[in-house]
Amino acid sequence: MANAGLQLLGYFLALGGWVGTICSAALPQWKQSSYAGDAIITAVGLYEGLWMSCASQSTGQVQCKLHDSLLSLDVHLQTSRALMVVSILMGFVGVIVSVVGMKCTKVGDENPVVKSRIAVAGGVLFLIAGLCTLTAVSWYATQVTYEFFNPNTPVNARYEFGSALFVGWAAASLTMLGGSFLCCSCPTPTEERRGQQHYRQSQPSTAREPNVKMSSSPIRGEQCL
Amino acid sequence: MRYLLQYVACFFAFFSAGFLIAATWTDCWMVNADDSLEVSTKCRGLWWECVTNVFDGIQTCDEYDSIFAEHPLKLVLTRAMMITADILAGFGFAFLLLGLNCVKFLTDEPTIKLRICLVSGVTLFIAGMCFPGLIGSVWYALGVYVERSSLVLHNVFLGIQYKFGWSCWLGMAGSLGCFLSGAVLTCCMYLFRDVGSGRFYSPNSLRKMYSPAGTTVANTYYPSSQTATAKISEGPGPELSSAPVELLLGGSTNLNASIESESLSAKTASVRREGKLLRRFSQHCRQKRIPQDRIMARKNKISNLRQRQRHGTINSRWQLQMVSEVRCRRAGFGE
Repeated sequence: MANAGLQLLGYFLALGGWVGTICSAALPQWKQSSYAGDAIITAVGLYEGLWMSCASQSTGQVQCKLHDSLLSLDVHLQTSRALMVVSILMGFVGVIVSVVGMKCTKVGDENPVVKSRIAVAGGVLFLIAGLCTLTAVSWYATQVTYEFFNPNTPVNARYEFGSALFVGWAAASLTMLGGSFLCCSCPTPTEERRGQQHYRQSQPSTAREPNVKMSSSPIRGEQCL
Repeated sequence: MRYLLQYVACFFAFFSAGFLIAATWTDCWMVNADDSLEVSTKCRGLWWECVTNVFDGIQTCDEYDSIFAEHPLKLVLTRAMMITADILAGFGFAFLLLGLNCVKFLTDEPTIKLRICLVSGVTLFIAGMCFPGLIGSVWYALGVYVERSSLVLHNVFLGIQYKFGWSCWLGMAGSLGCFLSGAVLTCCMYLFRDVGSGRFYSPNSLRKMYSPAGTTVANTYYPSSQTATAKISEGPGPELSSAPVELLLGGSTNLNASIESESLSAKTASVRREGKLLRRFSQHCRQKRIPQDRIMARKNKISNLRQRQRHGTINSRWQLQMVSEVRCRRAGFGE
Protein backbone atom coordinates (compact mmCIF):
# COMPACT_ATOMS: atom_id res chain seq x y z
CA MET A 1 0.00 0.00 0.00
CA ALA A 2 1.15 3.47 -0.69
CA ASN A 3 2.41 5.48 2.19
CA ALA A 4 0.35 8.05 3.99
CA GLY A 5 2.34 10.97 2.60
CA LEU A 6 1.43 10.13 -0.97
CA GLN A 7 -2.21 9.85 0.00
CA LEU A 8 -2.10 13.19 1.75
CA LEU A 9 -0.41 14.83 -1.22
CA GLY A 10 -2.98 13.36 -3.58
CA TYR A 11 -5.80 14.46 -1.34
CA PHE A 12 -4.65 18.05 -1.17
CA LEU A 13 -3.98 18.19 -4.91
CA ALA A 14 -7.46 16.90 -5.58
CA LEU A 15 -8.95 19.31 -3.04
CA GLY A 16 -7.24 22.20 -4.78
CA GLY A 17 -8.49 20.91 -8.11
CA TRP A 18 -12.01 20.69 -6.75
CA VAL A 19 -11.92 24.30 -5.53
CA GLY A 20 -10.55 25.29 -8.94
CA THR A 21 -13.42 23.46 -10.61
CA ILE A 22 -15.92 25.40 -8.53
CA CYS A 23 -14.19 28.68 -9.40
CA SER A 24 -14.08 27.92 -13.08
CA ALA A 25 -17.75 26.92 -13.13
CA ALA A 26 -18.74 30.13 -11.40
CA LEU A 27 -16.53 32.52 -13.37
CA PRO A 28 -18.19 34.36 -16.26
CA GLN A 29 -15.08 34.46 -18.45
CA TRP A 30 -15.44 31.28 -20.46
CA LYS A 31 -15.04 33.17 -23.67
CA GLN A 32 -14.15 36.80 -24.19
CA SER A 33 -14.27 39.07 -27.16
CA SER A 34 -11.22 38.88 -29.32
CA TYR A 35 -9.25 41.84 -30.54
CA ALA A 36 -7.64 39.93 -33.36
CA GLY A 37 -7.62 41.46 -36.80
CA ASP A 38 -8.87 44.97 -37.34
CA ALA A 39 -11.73 44.76 -34.87
CA ILE A 40 -10.44 47.02 -32.17
CA ILE A 41 -13.27 47.66 -29.78
CA THR A 42 -11.84 49.31 -26.75
CA ALA A 43 -14.96 50.79 -25.23
CA VAL A 44 -16.64 47.54 -24.29
CA GLY A 45 -15.17 44.14 -23.56
CA LEU A 46 -17.63 41.31 -23.80
CA TYR A 47 -17.34 38.01 -22.04
CA GLU A 48 -19.60 35.10 -21.54
CA GLY A 49 -19.77 32.25 -19.08
CA LEU A 50 -21.90 29.27 -18.29
CA TRP A 51 -24.44 31.26 -16.36
CA MET A 52 -24.22 34.88 -17.47
CA SER A 53 -22.87 37.16 -20.13
CA CYS A 54 -21.14 40.35 -19.14
CA ALA A 55 -20.01 43.59 -20.71
CA SER A 56 -17.28 45.56 -19.04
CA GLN A 57 -17.26 49.23 -19.93
CA SER A 58 -14.13 51.27 -20.19
CA THR A 59 -15.45 53.41 -17.34
CA GLY A 60 -15.02 50.49 -14.96
CA GLN A 61 -18.61 49.41 -14.78
CA VAL A 62 -19.50 45.80 -15.38
CA GLN A 63 -22.92 44.83 -16.62
CA CYS A 64 -24.00 41.26 -16.29
CA LYS A 65 -27.10 39.41 -17.30
CA LEU A 66 -28.07 35.84 -16.62
CA HIS A 67 -28.80 33.70 -19.65
CA ASP A 68 -32.48 34.03 -20.36
CA SER A 69 -33.97 30.67 -21.05
CA LEU A 70 -32.57 27.31 -20.17
CA LEU A 71 -34.02 25.50 -23.16
CA SER A 72 -32.96 27.95 -25.85
CA LEU A 73 -29.29 27.63 -24.97
CA ASP A 74 -26.75 25.98 -27.21
CA VAL A 75 -26.11 22.29 -26.80
CA HIS A 76 -22.49 22.70 -25.88
CA LEU A 77 -23.33 25.23 -23.18
CA GLN A 78 -25.92 22.96 -21.61
CA THR A 79 -23.60 19.98 -21.74
CA SER A 80 -20.77 21.94 -20.19
CA ARG A 81 -23.05 23.13 -17.42
CA ALA A 82 -24.24 19.61 -16.69
CA LEU A 83 -20.73 18.19 -16.76
CA MET A 84 -19.39 20.88 -14.47
CA VAL A 85 -22.17 20.37 -11.96
CA VAL A 86 -21.65 16.61 -12.05
CA SER A 87 -17.95 17.13 -11.59
CA ILE A 88 -18.45 19.36 -8.56
CA LEU A 89 -20.81 16.85 -6.98
CA MET A 90 -18.42 13.97 -7.66
CA GLY A 91 -15.58 15.97 -6.18
CA PHE A 92 -17.64 16.69 -3.08
CA VAL A 93 -18.38 13.01 -2.54
CA GLY A 94 -14.74 12.21 -3.24
CA VAL A 95 -13.57 14.73 -0.64
CA ILE A 96 -15.69 13.04 2.01
CA VAL A 97 -15.03 9.44 0.97
CA SER A 98 -11.28 9.76 0.72
CA VAL A 99 -11.06 11.35 4.16
CA VAL A 100 -12.53 8.12 5.51
CA GLY A 101 -10.17 6.02 3.44
CA MET A 102 -6.94 7.85 4.09
CA LYS A 103 -4.37 6.45 6.43
CA CYS A 104 -4.07 9.57 8.52
CA THR A 105 -7.55 9.13 9.99
CA LYS A 106 -8.54 6.56 12.55
CA VAL A 107 -11.87 5.64 10.98
CA GLY A 108 -12.03 1.95 10.13
CA ASP A 109 -8.50 1.32 11.25
CA GLU A 110 -9.03 -2.32 12.15
CA ASN A 111 -9.53 -3.34 8.54
CA PRO A 112 -6.75 -1.78 6.46
CA VAL A 113 -7.69 -3.52 3.22
CA VAL A 114 -11.22 -2.12 3.26
CA LYS A 115 -9.83 1.25 4.31
CA SER A 116 -7.45 1.40 1.38
CA ARG A 117 -10.22 0.32 -0.94
CA ILE A 118 -12.29 3.25 0.29
CA ALA A 119 -9.33 5.51 -0.47
CA VAL A 120 -9.17 4.05 -3.96
CA ALA A 121 -12.89 4.69 -4.37
CA GLY A 122 -12.32 8.33 -3.42
CA GLY A 123 -9.48 8.49 -5.94
CA VAL A 124 -11.68 7.06 -8.66
CA LEU A 125 -14.35 9.62 -7.86
CA PHE A 126 -11.76 12.36 -8.21
CA LEU A 127 -10.60 10.88 -11.50
CA ILE A 128 -14.15 10.89 -12.84
CA ALA A 129 -14.66 14.46 -11.62
CA GLY A 130 -11.46 15.54 -13.35
CA LEU A 131 -12.51 13.81 -16.56
CA CYS A 132 -15.89 15.55 -16.46
CA THR A 133 -14.24 18.95 -16.03
CA LEU A 134 -11.79 18.20 -18.79
CA THR A 135 -14.56 17.16 -21.14
CA ALA A 136 -16.68 20.20 -20.40
CA VAL A 137 -13.86 22.69 -20.76
CA SER A 138 -12.40 21.09 -23.87
CA TRP A 139 -15.77 20.84 -25.55
CA TYR A 140 -16.46 24.49 -24.89
CA ALA A 141 -12.99 25.39 -26.16
CA THR A 142 -13.57 23.38 -29.33
CA GLN A 143 -16.78 25.23 -29.93
CA VAL A 144 -15.10 28.59 -29.38
CA THR A 145 -12.33 27.66 -31.81
CA TYR A 146 -14.82 26.45 -34.37
CA GLU A 147 -16.75 29.70 -34.19
CA PHE A 148 -13.57 31.74 -34.35
CA PHE A 149 -12.41 30.12 -37.57
CA ASN A 150 -15.85 29.95 -39.08
CA PRO A 151 -15.79 32.40 -42.03
CA ASN A 152 -19.46 33.21 -41.49
CA THR A 153 -18.80 34.79 -38.11
CA PRO A 154 -18.48 38.54 -38.40
CA VAL A 155 -15.00 39.77 -37.60
CA ASN A 156 -15.99 41.95 -34.69
CA ALA A 157 -18.12 39.27 -33.03
CA ARG A 158 -15.34 36.78 -32.51
CA TYR A 159 -14.60 35.29 -29.16
CA GLU A 160 -11.54 33.55 -27.83
CA PHE A 161 -10.60 31.54 -24.76
CA GLY A 162 -11.29 33.18 -21.45
CA SER A 163 -9.49 32.77 -18.18
CA ALA A 164 -12.04 30.35 -16.75
CA LEU A 165 -11.11 27.83 -19.42
CA PHE A 166 -7.50 27.84 -18.30
CA VAL A 167 -8.54 27.61 -14.67
CA GLY A 168 -10.71 24.67 -15.66
CA TRP A 169 -7.87 22.88 -17.42
CA ALA A 170 -5.57 23.38 -14.46
CA ALA A 171 -8.25 22.22 -12.06
CA ALA A 172 -8.99 19.12 -14.14
CA SER A 173 -5.35 18.11 -14.27
CA LEU A 174 -4.89 18.73 -10.54
CA THR A 175 -7.96 16.67 -9.70
CA MET A 176 -6.89 13.81 -11.93
CA LEU A 177 -3.36 13.87 -10.58
CA GLY A 178 -4.62 13.81 -6.99
CA GLY A 179 -7.09 11.07 -7.81
CA SER A 180 -4.41 8.90 -9.36
CA PHE A 181 -2.19 9.41 -6.30
CA LEU A 182 -5.06 8.27 -4.13
CA CYS A 183 -5.54 5.28 -6.42
CA CYS A 184 -1.94 4.27 -5.71
CA SER A 185 -3.13 3.07 -2.31
CA CYS A 186 -4.81 0.10 -3.96
CA PRO A 187 -3.91 -2.99 -1.95
CA THR A 188 -1.47 -5.30 -3.73
CA PRO A 189 -2.45 -8.97 -4.11
CA THR A 190 -0.16 -10.13 -1.30
CA GLU A 191 -1.59 -7.65 1.12
CA GLU A 192 -5.05 -8.54 0.07
CA ARG A 193 -4.33 -12.20 0.71
CA ARG A 194 -2.93 -11.36 4.09
CA GLY A 195 -5.95 -9.26 4.88
CA GLN A 196 -8.27 -12.01 3.75
CA GLN A 197 -6.46 -14.49 5.89
CA HIS A 198 -6.95 -12.20 8.78
CA TYR A 199 -10.58 -11.94 7.85
CA ARG A 200 -10.95 -15.67 7.50
CA GLN A 201 -9.36 -16.24 10.83
CA SER A 202 -12.09 -14.16 12.27
CA GLN A 203 -14.73 -16.51 10.94
CA PRO A 204 -15.70 -19.85 12.44
CA SER A 205 -14.92 -21.68 9.23
CA THR A 206 -11.71 -23.57 8.76
CA ALA A 207 -12.01 -23.62 5.03
CA ARG A 208 -8.49 -22.24 4.92
CA GLU A 209 -7.07 -25.66 4.35
CA PRO A 210 -8.59 -27.45 1.43
CA ASN A 211 -7.73 -30.95 2.67
CA VAL A 212 -9.48 -30.31 5.96
CA LYS A 213 -12.56 -29.28 4.08
CA MET A 214 -12.39 -32.35 1.88
CA SER A 215 -12.06 -34.64 4.85
CA SER A 216 -14.87 -33.00 6.66
CA SER A 217 -17.33 -33.11 3.81
CA PRO A 218 -18.03 -36.89 3.66
CA ILE A 219 -18.85 -37.10 7.32
CA ARG A 220 -21.15 -34.18 7.24
CA GLY A 221 -24.14 -36.16 8.32
CA GLU A 222 -22.47 -37.71 11.33
CA GLN A 223 -21.27 -34.32 12.44
CA CYS A 224 -24.67 -32.90 12.66
CA LEU A 225 -25.99 -35.74 14.67
CA MET B 1 -18.25 13.44 25.18
CA ARG B 2 -15.10 15.43 24.63
CA TYR B 3 -14.58 13.97 21.19
CA LEU B 4 -18.17 14.69 20.26
CA LEU B 5 -17.62 18.29 21.31
CA GLN B 6 -14.57 18.41 19.07
CA TYR B 7 -16.60 17.32 16.08
CA VAL B 8 -19.39 19.77 16.85
CA ALA B 9 -16.83 22.56 17.08
CA CYS B 10 -15.20 21.43 13.85
CA PHE B 11 -18.56 21.50 12.08
CA PHE B 12 -19.30 24.99 13.33
CA ALA B 13 -15.82 26.20 12.48
CA PHE B 14 -16.05 24.90 8.90
CA PHE B 15 -19.36 26.56 8.16
CA SER B 16 -18.63 29.81 9.92
CA ALA B 17 -15.26 30.18 8.20
CA GLY B 18 -17.07 29.62 4.89
CA PHE B 19 -19.72 32.17 5.82
CA LEU B 20 -17.16 34.76 6.82
CA ILE B 21 -15.23 34.36 3.57
CA ALA B 22 -18.44 34.50 1.55
CA ALA B 23 -19.56 37.61 3.41
CA THR B 24 -16.28 39.35 2.74
CA TRP B 25 -16.37 38.84 -0.99
CA THR B 26 -20.06 39.34 -1.74
CA ASP B 27 -21.58 42.67 -2.49
CA CYS B 28 -24.74 43.08 -0.54
CA TRP B 29 -23.76 44.53 2.79
CA MET B 30 -26.49 47.06 2.54
CA VAL B 31 -29.46 47.11 0.23
CA ASN B 32 -31.97 49.78 -0.47
CA ALA B 33 -35.08 49.62 1.69
CA ASP B 34 -38.38 48.57 0.21
CA ASP B 35 -40.12 51.79 0.93
CA SER B 36 -37.96 53.74 -1.47
CA LEU B 37 -39.75 53.70 -4.79
CA GLU B 38 -37.22 51.96 -6.96
CA VAL B 39 -37.47 49.37 -9.67
CA SER B 40 -33.99 48.13 -9.00
CA THR B 41 -32.09 46.62 -6.11
CA LYS B 42 -29.12 48.62 -5.06
CA CYS B 43 -26.55 46.63 -3.16
CA ARG B 44 -23.43 48.08 -1.66
CA GLY B 45 -20.66 45.82 -0.56
CA LEU B 46 -17.15 46.24 0.70
CA TRP B 47 -15.63 46.26 -2.76
CA TRP B 48 -18.37 46.81 -5.31
CA GLU B 49 -21.64 48.57 -5.70
CA CYS B 50 -24.21 46.78 -7.80
CA VAL B 51 -27.56 47.73 -9.20
CA THR B 52 -29.83 44.96 -10.36
CA ASN B 53 -32.82 45.81 -12.44
CA VAL B 54 -35.77 43.87 -11.15
CA PHE B 55 -37.44 43.49 -14.53
CA ASP B 56 -34.79 42.44 -16.99
CA GLY B 57 -32.27 41.11 -14.50
CA ILE B 58 -29.33 43.11 -15.79
CA GLN B 59 -26.80 43.66 -13.09
CA THR B 60 -24.48 46.63 -13.32
CA CYS B 61 -21.56 46.71 -10.97
CA ASP B 62 -19.15 49.49 -10.28
CA GLU B 63 -15.95 49.11 -8.35
CA TYR B 64 -15.12 51.65 -5.70
CA ASP B 65 -12.18 53.87 -6.45
CA SER B 66 -8.66 52.75 -5.88
CA ILE B 67 -7.58 51.65 -2.45
CA PHE B 68 -5.76 54.88 -1.78
CA ALA B 69 -8.70 57.09 -2.65
CA GLU B 70 -10.82 58.64 0.04
CA HIS B 71 -13.03 56.02 1.59
CA PRO B 72 -15.29 56.31 4.59
CA LEU B 73 -13.58 55.04 7.71
CA LYS B 74 -16.38 52.56 8.27
CA LEU B 75 -15.68 50.83 4.99
CA VAL B 76 -11.94 50.59 5.46
CA LEU B 77 -12.19 49.30 9.01
CA THR B 78 -14.83 46.74 8.12
CA ARG B 79 -12.68 45.50 5.27
CA ALA B 80 -9.70 45.12 7.56
CA MET B 81 -11.71 43.40 10.25
CA MET B 82 -13.35 40.98 7.89
CA ILE B 83 -10.06 39.99 6.29
CA THR B 84 -8.54 39.45 9.72
CA ALA B 85 -11.53 37.37 10.71
CA ASP B 86 -11.20 35.29 7.54
CA ILE B 87 -7.56 34.57 8.18
CA LEU B 88 -8.06 33.77 11.85
CA ALA B 89 -11.07 31.54 11.22
CA GLY B 90 -9.36 29.67 8.40
CA PHE B 91 -6.24 29.18 10.46
CA GLY B 92 -8.27 28.05 13.46
CA PHE B 93 -10.18 25.53 11.38
CA ALA B 94 -7.05 24.09 9.77
CA PHE B 95 -5.33 23.85 13.14
CA LEU B 96 -8.38 22.23 14.67
CA LEU B 97 -8.22 19.51 12.03
CA LEU B 98 -4.78 18.55 13.31
CA GLY B 99 -6.07 18.39 16.83
CA LEU B 100 -9.08 16.20 16.08
CA ASN B 101 -9.06 12.84 17.74
CA CYS B 102 -9.64 10.86 14.55
CA VAL B 103 -6.65 12.33 12.73
CA LYS B 104 -3.43 10.43 13.24
CA PHE B 105 -1.20 13.31 14.15
CA LEU B 106 0.81 13.09 17.36
CA THR B 107 -1.26 10.16 18.55
CA ASP B 108 1.24 9.43 21.27
CA GLU B 109 0.73 12.74 22.98
CA PRO B 110 -2.91 13.37 23.78
CA THR B 111 -2.07 16.40 25.89
CA ILE B 112 -0.45 18.16 22.96
CA LYS B 113 -3.44 17.29 20.84
CA LEU B 114 -5.67 18.78 23.47
CA ARG B 115 -3.58 21.90 23.53
CA ILE B 116 -3.82 22.20 19.75
CA CYS B 117 -7.59 22.11 20.14
CA LEU B 118 -7.41 24.76 22.81
CA VAL B 119 -5.25 27.06 20.70
CA SER B 120 -7.51 26.74 17.71
CA GLY B 121 -10.48 27.34 19.97
CA VAL B 122 -8.96 30.57 21.22
CA THR B 123 -8.19 31.61 17.64
CA LEU B 124 -11.75 30.95 16.56
CA PHE B 125 -13.03 32.76 19.62
CA ILE B 126 -10.93 35.80 18.77
CA ALA B 127 -12.02 35.62 15.14
CA GLY B 128 -15.66 35.42 16.07
CA MET B 129 -16.04 37.56 19.10
CA CYS B 130 -13.32 39.78 20.34
CA PHE B 131 -12.18 41.79 17.44
CA PRO B 132 -13.02 41.26 13.82
CA GLY B 133 -16.06 39.25 12.92
CA LEU B 134 -18.92 40.20 15.13
CA ILE B 135 -17.74 43.72 15.85
CA GLY B 136 -17.07 44.32 12.17
CA SER B 137 -20.42 43.17 10.94
CA VAL B 138 -22.45 44.53 13.84
CA TRP B 139 -20.68 47.83 13.62
CA TYR B 140 -21.41 48.07 9.93
CA ALA B 141 -25.03 47.17 10.59
CA LEU B 142 -25.24 49.76 13.36
CA GLY B 143 -23.81 52.39 11.04
CA VAL B 144 -26.44 51.58 8.46
CA TYR B 145 -29.15 51.66 11.11
CA VAL B 146 -28.04 54.98 12.58
CA GLU B 147 -27.83 56.54 9.15
CA ARG B 148 -31.32 55.44 8.30
CA SER B 149 -32.90 56.39 11.58
CA SER B 150 -31.33 59.84 11.50
CA LEU B 151 -32.77 60.32 8.03
CA VAL B 152 -36.19 59.24 9.24
CA LEU B 153 -35.86 61.46 12.31
CA HIS B 154 -35.27 64.49 10.17
CA ASN B 155 -38.15 63.54 7.90
CA VAL B 156 -35.87 63.13 4.92
CA PHE B 157 -37.41 60.71 2.50
CA LEU B 158 -35.51 61.70 -0.58
CA GLY B 159 -32.58 59.71 -1.83
CA ILE B 160 -31.84 56.11 -1.07
CA GLN B 161 -32.28 54.64 2.35
CA TYR B 162 -30.47 51.45 3.12
CA LYS B 163 -31.09 48.43 5.27
CA PHE B 164 -28.91 45.40 5.99
CA GLY B 165 -28.17 43.14 3.06
CA TRP B 166 -27.70 39.41 3.10
CA SER B 167 -23.91 39.61 3.18
CA CYS B 168 -24.16 41.43 6.47
CA TRP B 169 -26.38 38.70 7.86
CA LEU B 170 -23.97 36.12 6.53
CA GLY B 171 -21.12 37.83 8.30
CA MET B 172 -23.02 37.93 11.55
CA ALA B 173 -23.96 34.27 11.28
CA GLY B 174 -20.37 33.34 10.49
CA SER B 175 -18.93 35.24 13.39
CA LEU B 176 -21.55 33.81 15.71
CA GLY B 177 -20.63 30.32 14.55
CA CYS B 178 -16.95 31.06 15.12
CA PHE B 179 -17.77 32.33 18.57
CA LEU B 180 -19.78 29.19 19.35
CA SER B 181 -17.11 26.82 18.17
CA GLY B 182 -14.46 28.74 20.06
CA ALA B 183 -16.59 28.61 23.17
CA VAL B 184 -17.14 24.88 22.77
CA LEU B 185 -13.45 24.26 22.25
CA THR B 186 -12.28 26.31 25.21
CA CYS B 187 -14.93 26.35 27.91
CA CYS B 188 -16.81 23.12 27.32
CA MET B 189 -13.69 21.04 26.80
CA TYR B 190 -12.46 22.42 30.07
CA LEU B 191 -15.71 21.58 31.79
CA PHE B 192 -15.79 18.04 30.47
CA ARG B 193 -12.09 17.37 30.87
CA ASP B 194 -12.52 14.71 33.54
CA VAL B 195 -14.96 12.61 31.59
CA GLY B 196 -12.66 11.45 28.88
CA SER B 197 -9.13 12.50 29.62
CA GLY B 198 -8.76 10.04 32.45
CA ARG B 199 -6.88 10.83 35.58
CA PHE B 200 -4.87 7.83 36.54
CA TYR B 201 -6.05 7.55 40.09
CA SER B 202 -9.65 6.56 39.65
CA PRO B 203 -10.19 2.95 38.53
CA ASN B 204 -12.98 4.03 36.21
CA SER B 205 -10.75 6.26 34.19
CA LEU B 206 -8.04 3.61 34.20
CA ARG B 207 -10.33 1.21 32.47
CA LYS B 208 -11.13 3.89 29.97
CA MET B 209 -7.49 4.54 29.37
CA TYR B 210 -6.74 0.94 28.75
CA SER B 211 -9.87 -0.12 27.00
CA PRO B 212 -8.64 0.56 23.45
CA ALA B 213 -5.52 -1.47 24.07
CA GLY B 214 -7.52 -4.21 25.73
CA THR B 215 -9.95 -4.50 22.88
CA THR B 216 -7.22 -4.67 20.27
CA VAL B 217 -5.50 -7.44 22.17
CA ALA B 218 -8.75 -9.29 22.48
CA ASN B 219 -9.37 -8.86 18.79
CA THR B 220 -6.06 -10.32 17.77
CA TYR B 221 -6.37 -13.21 20.14
CA TYR B 222 -9.93 -14.23 19.65
CA PRO B 223 -11.33 -12.65 16.62
CA SER B 224 -13.26 -15.76 15.70
CA SER B 225 -15.54 -15.90 18.67
CA GLN B 226 -16.83 -12.38 18.29
CA THR B 227 -17.57 -12.33 14.63
CA ALA B 228 -18.83 -15.86 14.68
CA THR B 229 -21.33 -15.22 17.41
CA ALA B 230 -22.37 -12.11 15.61
CA LYS B 231 -22.90 -14.13 12.47
CA ILE B 232 -24.88 -16.78 14.21
CA SER B 233 -27.04 -14.42 16.12
CA GLU B 234 -28.16 -13.00 12.83
CA GLY B 235 -30.37 -16.00 12.49
CA PRO B 236 -30.96 -18.27 9.51
CA GLY B 237 -30.78 -15.68 6.80
CA PRO B 238 -30.07 -16.37 3.15
CA GLU B 239 -26.41 -16.90 3.99
CA LEU B 240 -27.01 -19.60 6.54
CA SER B 241 -29.44 -21.49 4.42
CA SER B 242 -27.08 -22.32 1.58
CA ALA B 243 -23.33 -22.36 1.92
CA PRO B 244 -22.48 -21.64 5.53
CA VAL B 245 -23.77 -24.95 6.80
CA GLU B 246 -20.50 -26.51 5.87
CA LEU B 247 -18.70 -23.56 7.33
CA LEU B 248 -20.40 -24.24 10.60
CA LEU B 249 -19.51 -27.91 10.38
CA GLY B 250 -15.92 -27.15 9.67
CA GLY B 251 -15.94 -24.75 12.54
CA SER B 252 -17.06 -27.35 14.98
CA THR B 253 -14.44 -29.91 13.96
CA ASN B 254 -11.42 -27.77 13.67
CA LEU B 255 -12.08 -25.29 16.37
CA ASN B 256 -9.36 -26.31 18.76
CA ALA B 257 -6.74 -26.41 16.06
CA SER B 258 -7.67 -22.97 14.96
CA ILE B 259 -7.33 -21.68 18.51
CA GLU B 260 -3.79 -23.01 18.59
CA SER B 261 -2.63 -21.56 15.30
CA GLU B 262 -4.35 -18.24 15.82
CA SER B 263 -2.88 -17.53 19.18
CA LEU B 264 0.57 -18.44 17.88
CA SER B 265 0.35 -16.07 14.96
CA ALA B 266 -1.16 -13.24 16.91
CA LYS B 267 0.93 -13.65 20.00
CA THR B 268 4.04 -11.84 18.82
CA ALA B 269 2.12 -8.80 17.66
CA SER B 270 0.14 -8.52 20.84
CA VAL B 271 3.23 -8.98 23.00
CA ARG B 272 4.92 -6.19 21.14
CA ARG B 273 1.90 -3.98 21.54
CA GLU B 274 1.68 -4.77 25.22
CA GLY B 275 5.33 -3.87 25.73
CA LYS B 276 4.81 -0.53 24.01
CA LEU B 277 1.80 0.11 26.16
CA LEU B 278 3.67 -0.69 29.35
CA ARG B 279 6.50 1.57 28.32
CA ARG B 280 4.11 4.41 27.74
CA PHE B 281 2.42 3.68 31.02
CA SER B 282 5.64 3.83 33.03
CA GLN B 283 6.66 6.98 31.22
CA HIS B 284 3.40 8.56 32.19
CA CYS B 285 3.85 7.45 35.79
CA ARG B 286 7.30 8.98 35.89
CA GLN B 287 5.91 12.21 34.59
CA LYS B 288 3.11 12.31 37.09
CA ARG B 289 5.33 11.06 39.97
CA ILE B 290 3.03 8.22 40.93
CA PRO B 291 4.49 6.06 43.72
CA GLN B 292 5.97 2.69 42.83
CA ASP B 293 3.68 0.42 44.86
CA ARG B 294 0.63 1.92 43.30
CA ILE B 295 2.03 1.24 39.85
CA MET B 296 2.69 -2.40 40.73
CA ALA B 297 -0.83 -2.86 42.03
CA ARG B 298 -2.17 -1.35 38.83
CA LYS B 299 -0.12 -3.64 36.65
CA ASN B 300 -1.23 -6.71 38.57
CA LYS B 301 -4.81 -5.69 38.24
CA ILE B 302 -4.44 -5.27 34.52
CA SER B 303 -2.88 -8.68 34.01
CA ASN B 304 -5.64 -10.24 36.13
CA LEU B 305 -8.22 -8.61 33.96
CA ARG B 306 -6.52 -9.90 30.83
CA GLN B 307 -6.46 -13.45 32.16
CA ARG B 308 -10.09 -13.38 33.04
CA GLN B 309 -10.84 -12.05 29.60
CA ARG B 310 -8.97 -14.90 28.00
CA HIS B 311 -10.82 -17.53 29.99
CA GLY B 312 -14.07 -15.83 29.26
CA THR B 313 -13.51 -15.98 25.54
CA ILE B 314 -12.50 -19.60 25.63
CA ASN B 315 -15.71 -20.36 27.44
CA SER B 316 -17.70 -18.55 24.86
CA ARG B 317 -15.91 -20.62 22.24
CA TRP B 318 -17.45 -23.76 23.66
CA GLN B 319 -20.80 -22.08 23.73
CA LEU B 320 -20.25 -21.25 20.11
CA GLN B 321 -19.71 -24.88 19.25
CA MET B 322 -22.94 -25.84 20.96
CA VAL B 323 -24.83 -23.18 19.11
CA SER B 324 -23.45 -24.23 15.78
CA GLU B 325 -24.47 -27.83 16.33
CA VAL B 326 -27.95 -26.87 17.30
CA ARG B 327 -28.22 -24.67 14.26
CA CYS B 328 -27.05 -27.55 12.13
CA ARG B 329 -29.76 -29.79 13.43
CA ARG B 330 -32.33 -27.15 12.87
CA ALA B 331 -31.23 -26.81 9.27
CA GLY B 332 -32.33 -30.43 8.82
CA PHE B 333 -28.97 -32.08 8.36
CA GLY B 334 -28.39 -35.60 9.51
CA GLU B 335 -31.87 -36.23 10.79
